[in-house]
Parts: sequence; C-alpha cells; structure tokens
Amino acid sequence: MKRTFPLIIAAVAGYVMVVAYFMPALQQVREDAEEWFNILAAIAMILGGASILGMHLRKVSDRRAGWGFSVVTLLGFLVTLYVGLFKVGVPPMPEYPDRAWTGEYIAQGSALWWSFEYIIYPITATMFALLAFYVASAAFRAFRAKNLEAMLLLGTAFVILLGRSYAGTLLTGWYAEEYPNLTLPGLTDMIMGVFNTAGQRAVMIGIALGIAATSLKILLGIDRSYLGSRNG
Amino acid sequence: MKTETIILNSFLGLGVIALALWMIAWGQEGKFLGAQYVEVRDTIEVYDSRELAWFRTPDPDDPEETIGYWVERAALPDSEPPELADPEAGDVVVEPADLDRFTPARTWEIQRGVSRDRADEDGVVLSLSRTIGLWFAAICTLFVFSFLYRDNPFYKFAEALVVGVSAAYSMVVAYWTMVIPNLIGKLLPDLVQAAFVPEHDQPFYAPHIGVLILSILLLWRLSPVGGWVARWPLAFIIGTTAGFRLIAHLESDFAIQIQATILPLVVRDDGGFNFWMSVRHLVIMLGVMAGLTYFFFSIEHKGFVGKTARVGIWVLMITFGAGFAYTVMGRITLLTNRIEYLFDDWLWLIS
Amino acid sequence: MSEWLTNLDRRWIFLAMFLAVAIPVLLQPELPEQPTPIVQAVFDKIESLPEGSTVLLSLDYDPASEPELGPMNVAFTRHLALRGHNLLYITLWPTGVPMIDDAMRVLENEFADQYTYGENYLNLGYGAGQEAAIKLIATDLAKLFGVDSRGRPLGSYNAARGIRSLQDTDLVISIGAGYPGTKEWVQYAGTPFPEIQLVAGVTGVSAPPQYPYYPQQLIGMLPAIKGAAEYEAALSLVYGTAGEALPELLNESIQAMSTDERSEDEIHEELQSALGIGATQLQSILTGRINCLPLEQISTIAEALALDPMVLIEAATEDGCDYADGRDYPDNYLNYGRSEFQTALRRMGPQLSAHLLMLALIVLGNLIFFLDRRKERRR
Repeated sequence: MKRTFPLIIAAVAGYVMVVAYFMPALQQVREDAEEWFNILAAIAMILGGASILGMHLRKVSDRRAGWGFSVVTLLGFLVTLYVGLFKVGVPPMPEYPDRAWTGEYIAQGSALWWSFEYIIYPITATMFALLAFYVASAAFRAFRAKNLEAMLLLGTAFVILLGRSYAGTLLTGWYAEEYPNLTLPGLTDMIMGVFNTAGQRAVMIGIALGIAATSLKILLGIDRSYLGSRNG
Repeated sequence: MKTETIILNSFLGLGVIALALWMIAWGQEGKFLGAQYVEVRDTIEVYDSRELAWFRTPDPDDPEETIGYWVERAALPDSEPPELADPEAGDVVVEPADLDRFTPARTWEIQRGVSRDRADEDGVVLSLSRTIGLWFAAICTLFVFSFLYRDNPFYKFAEALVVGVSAAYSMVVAYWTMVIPNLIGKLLPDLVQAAFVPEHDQPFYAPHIGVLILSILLLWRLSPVGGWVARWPLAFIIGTTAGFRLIAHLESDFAIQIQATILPLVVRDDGGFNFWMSVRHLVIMLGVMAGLTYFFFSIEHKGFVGKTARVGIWVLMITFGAGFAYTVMGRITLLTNRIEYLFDDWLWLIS
Repeated sequence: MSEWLTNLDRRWIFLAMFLAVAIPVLLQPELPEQPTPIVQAVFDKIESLPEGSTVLLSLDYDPASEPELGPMNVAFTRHLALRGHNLLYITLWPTGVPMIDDAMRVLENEFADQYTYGENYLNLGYGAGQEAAIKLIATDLAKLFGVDSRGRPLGSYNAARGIRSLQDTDLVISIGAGYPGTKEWVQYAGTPFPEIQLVAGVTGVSAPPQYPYYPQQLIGMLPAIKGAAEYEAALSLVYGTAGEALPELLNESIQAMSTDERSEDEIHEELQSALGIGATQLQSILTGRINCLPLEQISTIAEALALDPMVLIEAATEDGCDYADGRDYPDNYLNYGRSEFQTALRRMGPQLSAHLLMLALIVLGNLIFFLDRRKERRR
C-alpha cells in the first residue's frame, strides 16, 4: 500500500496522458486528469505556505539564532493570510452589495493589493536588482581571456553588449548602408540567429532526450526516488 | 572608528538632510513628497440588512440580465422572506432617490490612482494609505540596497518580511482562484454561489470527489503521523507530469528541432543563388551537429569526433556568451526600474 | 596603481554601476531604435489580424521581471486596442495577477471611449497547474477559467463569446519570465495545435534559449528590454506623430487672439465648451499628447479660432496624420510617439552606459591579469 499503490497511480496517470495524445476519444478523461492536476498544484501552494509557517514556528520556539526575523516572517505571513482570506478592504460586487465576500480578492486599494504593491513588489524587484552590481563585480574579477574558448565567450558578450545598445549604432552606423550585416547590430542578429540558435538547439535536443528518458523511467516504475526512503 | 564607517555615516547624514530640505521645498508648494493621489470612480453603498434587503429580479428589457433593488424590510409582510417579495406588487422597493432616508452601513469608494501632475484637479484627493505604502516601499528598497555595503539587520528584516508575505499571498491566490471556484464550486455549488460567487453556474460534478480526497491526502503531509499517504497525490502529480512531458519534449524540442535544422544548403531566391543565406543554413546545421557531438559521451572524443566536439564547444561558448550578455541586460533593467522608483515616484526628481 | 586595482574593494565597482544607471535615469536621453526582424514579425502579425480578432495574453511573470516585461505588456495592450481586437488576460503565476491590472489601467485610462470591460476585454486571473493549465485550456478554456476575476461566468461576456478553447483565439501572446512561460506555451499550445498562433515577449535571461523556436514555432519574439524598446519604436512609427505643427499652430492662434479683455485662459475655456471636453484633454491637444483629431473636432476648433479647417488639416498631415480616403481618428487618439508612452525606450539610456561600464570592467580586469602574469614570468 505504501509503495506499490503510488507506483500504480503514477503509471496509470502517465499512460493516460500519453495515450490520450494519440486517441482523441480519451479527451474527457485527459481533461479531468488535468483539472485534478491543476487543483492539486493549488493545494501544493497551500501546503508550501503551511510548511514555511511550521518551519518558522519551530525556529521561534527553539529560540534558534535569528529567531527575531522569524517573528517578522510569521507576522507578515499571518497578517497577509488574514487580510487575504477575509478580503479586508475589498468592496462587494456592485450587483450584490449585500454579500460581503463577492468582490475581487485583490481589488485595487484592498489590504492584499497593498501588501503586494508596497511589500512584495519593491523588495523582490530590488533583491534581483542587486544582481546588476554583482554581475559587474564578477565581470571585473572572473572573466579572463585565458584561452580560445574564454575569448569566444567574451568576444560574443562584447559584440552583443555593444550591438544591443545604442553604442552599436553609434560606432558602426556609418557603414550600415553598404554592409548592414557587418555592423554591430547586424553581427548581433547573426550571432543570435545562427550560433546561438545552433548551440541552444543542441542543448535543447539533449535536454529533451534526458527528460524523455527520466519520464519513461517513472512510467515504467524504474525511477522510484519520488517515493522517498524505504522506511518512510 | 574606521574611515569607511565615518564616510558612510557622513553620507547617510547628508542624505537625510538633503531629503529633509527637499521635502521642505515641496512643502512650500503645499505638496507632500511622495504623495499618492486617487480619484473616486464609483461608490457602492451597503445598507443595514435589518432595514433594507437586496433583491434581484430579471431585467424586463433584457431577459439574460438581472437588476437589483433595495427592499424595505419594515414594509414586507412578516411571514414572507424578502426573496419572495414581488417588487412590482407594492411600494416596498426603495427608489434610488429615496435611499437618502437611510444611512448606509458602509460606503465603499472605488478609487483609481492618478499621476501627481493631476493632483490639483477636481475629484482628485490624497490617498493616505497609498502614500504610507510608497514611503514604506521606498524605505524597504533602501534596506535591500544596504546589503551592498554589508549584510545587516535592515536587509534581513526586508528579506524576512517578504518571505512571509509572499508565502501567504500565494496561498490566498490559490484559495480564491482555484480552491473556491474549481474545487468547492464543483462539490458544493450552492454554498459557493450563496457566499462567494453569486453567478457561479457550474453544477455538482461527482468525479471531483476524487481530487478532494487526493487534496486531503496531500495536506496530510503536515500531520505528524501517516504522512506517507501524501505519496498517492504526489504519485499522481509525478505520473501525469512524466506523461505529458514525455510527449511534449519529444515533439516540440526533439522532432521539430531536427526538422527545423534540415535546411536547404543552396538557397535560391528571386535574384538567383543567395550566398549568405546558404552559408547561414550550413553554419546552423554544422553548429547543431557539432554541439550534439560534444554532448555525445558514449564515444571517446578522439580523432574526427574529438575535433568536431571541439568545434561544438566553440559554438556552445558563443551561445553562453550571448546568454551572459542578455543576462546583464536583464539585471540592468531591474536596477534601472528601482532607481526610477526612488527618483521619480518617491523623490520627484524627474518631472 | 596595479596593486590597488588588484585588491580593489568591490564597493567601488558597485558605486560605478549605480552612477552608470542613475545618471541617465535623471538625464533621460532619447535614443532611437530600429525594430529588428524578430520584433517586426510580432508587430506585423498583430497588424495583419482583422479588426475584432480575439487575442489571449498570458502574463507569466513576477515583480522580479516586471521592469523588463511590463513595458511589453503595456505596448501590446495599446497596439491591440488601437487595432480594435478583443483581449483576454490570464496569468500562470500567482504574482502575475497584479500585472493584469497594469493592462486594465491602460485600457481604462487611454481607451475608455472605445473599450468596455466584458464587451472588449476580460481579466480571467490566475490559473494554477503550470503546463497542465496550458494543456487544459488548449481544449477547454472554461474548465480552468470558469469565471473571470470579477466572479461572473465567461459565457455572460461578449468578449469571450465563441471562444471555447485556445484554438478559437486568433493569437496567443506569451509574456514569460521562466517556468511556466514561453517554452511551455510553445510545447503545450503552439506545437501540438498548429491553429494556435503564438508570439512571445521574454526576459533577457530566458531569451537566448527561445531562439530555436523562431520562426517555426514562434511567429516572433521580443527579447528583453531591447525587444520592448524596438516594439515601442515600431508602435510610434505607425501610431505616433513626431511633428509639433498642429499644437504650434493652435497655440500661436490662441496667443494671437488673446486681448486684454479676452485672456488665453478664457479662450481655453471657450474651446473646452465648444468641444465638450475637460481641461486635461484640451491641454493634451495643445501639447501634442493627443493628435490626429477627428475631423469634427478640427472643424469645431477652426470655427472657434476663426481659422480655415484646411490649414489645420494641413498642419496635422505635416505631423504625420493621414486623413486621405476619409480616414477619421477616434477622439482621444494619443500620440504614441511621445516619450511618456515609451518606458522601454527610456530604459535604453541606462543600458548604454551600464554596458559600456561592463565592457570597461572586463577590459580592465583582463589588463591587470595579464600585466600581473607578465610580472610573475619575469620574476
């Protein structure tokens, strides 16, 4: 029951997906399975949130290093959950003013909207913006044209960084009429359309084969790693 | 004190003074720096349900639509629930003009943000909650940037806050967009219709009992005992994913990619032989094959195979160079946006 | 010097990067862009759709990619609305829900006269399930998006009438930042269902891996902020007029007409009441924000300012408005050539300086490296 039944579920669900691709008669079954999948994906998001809650609760109760920040996380979590689930600040549908919970859960001006607009957006965006600084630092310290391969990588980056900004037009625009393909923007287009396409395609084909192989292993019951350890 | 600390503290001090002066300068013009303005597009008035009940009836002009009335409770016969009252029959319906007699239990304003250059227009008002939000967001942005100097509690605070808020946000979105309409809505349609989605039109759908059970089993993972039952829904997710990924990758990323690489090596167009197009096709074809040879580890990379694999590495290096350049572009755009936010939305440095 | 550079505190590099981006943000240089073929293909596809086509936009990104993809979302929305298409918005990312609001705001603020919610556009909100969501709506839209974000069934809206699945739409636009995103749209919608036409807008990080799909599986693509800027440039070539002839003529005429008894403000008010518009809209006309006025408004203005309507039409034509073949413009035809509508083009200024800084850093880093190596060899 603990190991065999999940194997059967995985195999049946997988084969239904494969067979339904070739047999349109199975469309209804396939769509049902996809609907189930989508709902389970949403439940998984709830599960994910709940486990973050559990993790930080434990951290606070054990008074582990930095537990004060876990209190901040917990407060942020609980307040957002409350205002989101109870639609705080959300007006009802104009057609049904008597039913308080009918409005858009993230209506402009509501508490959930506020927490997205003024907490999630600025902090997430700024965290990723930090990478601009680190990529500059890495460019200075790590990119060395030591051999042919490194030179190719750097040379390409050079051409594209110039060709994908106004610098390309500025530097090579004067002969764009005669030799459009040899300007920096022209070279950039050529690199992207030819070398990048070829390289990415090779990678893509390799990954596709890899994914097909792992998928087959799951369907055939060879790969059972998702069941966890034996004594689990 | 270290020189760096002194320099940083002086910068911080100067920054705060400059900000204060800039705020005072705007204050002279009667504006609060970073203020957010809104205009009220609509209002929804909700009345005490003991006084007035909301009643909907088919629209006589359009049978597909319904129109709503407020019905006076006191005028209704005691025995009759308001849903059964006939608005045509008596004077129980309160005409919009007569609604003034009653005090709304709550008035909702539907507000929309407007740019600050419209601040002086009629109907545009300052929004306190949005202004506080903007200041909070600006300060959090600076907290995150402070990480560039070194790891510090301000950065950790912003990080901890966003982790909690984002986790709860995802849960809320999943709950209102999937769980309510697509799961509960198909198992208890009447409840969903009465409480959350008044125009919900999906009937009861028995097969969804299955996904309800799987959902409960998945959430069972949180329980201290019997967590293994979560393997069943997990197996369903893994199996389904394996099924559709197998097909999709073989079709879209394998078969069609091979097909797209089989290109005419001699390209002819209106003007005859197109040399550059032919070279382009040849390079794509050789590039893909060389790249694949490099990934082919079953044969030792010696002799011809070794040379081809080396060309493959060159192609891949060019590819990675392109990837690096594009990544740089992306990161710089993010930084541009944050600086725009601080300079424009918050500090009003850009007109 | 070399010693100092070798052990350079990275915070100096951080400062240089900050200045490289911050200075152009303050100075706002205007740099021209030319659409490349891969971007022009997207523009041409939307231009070629017959009026009233249904286009589904999937906004699969979060705040971490909004600066790159937000301008694409807005530019697509404007272009599609200018062409009179029906728009359906969805997102496969929970954090994408507010991104749909950005598009709604454009439609509410710039196209309020022509576009109404439910009649011409819909916000269908978030759909969970990543690629399974795409697979499901490829054959049945209502199974995932039974109700829109306002909680009403799809069937009750004209904008979604006759759209049972993705296969009934005329175009799908995937604006994606990762997983699930453009790759999944190609794999699960565009490739297995050839009737689903697909174009995309992607981030810098995810652009290079999508190139193999073009042009077989993707009609065209906007790669990174540069792609968005090129698209804005393409939009301004067709829907923006660069000229200031009409606003100049109007302002001159008003100035000439004003006397001690009749101030410019009074003439403005007279014009407002004659045209039946507010102060903001008149201001927009006088600054060229709104251009290519409808012929009816031109004759009203001509009458109020005692001008020959043909002179006004000539000035507008000089600005790039085309009144030939009796073409009339809607009465809030915004000038999409103006920089206020060009977020991505504005962000290309910081790109230029930051790219140059990056290149300088790479060169400098290598220079130090090779100098040090030579020193060591000599020793």
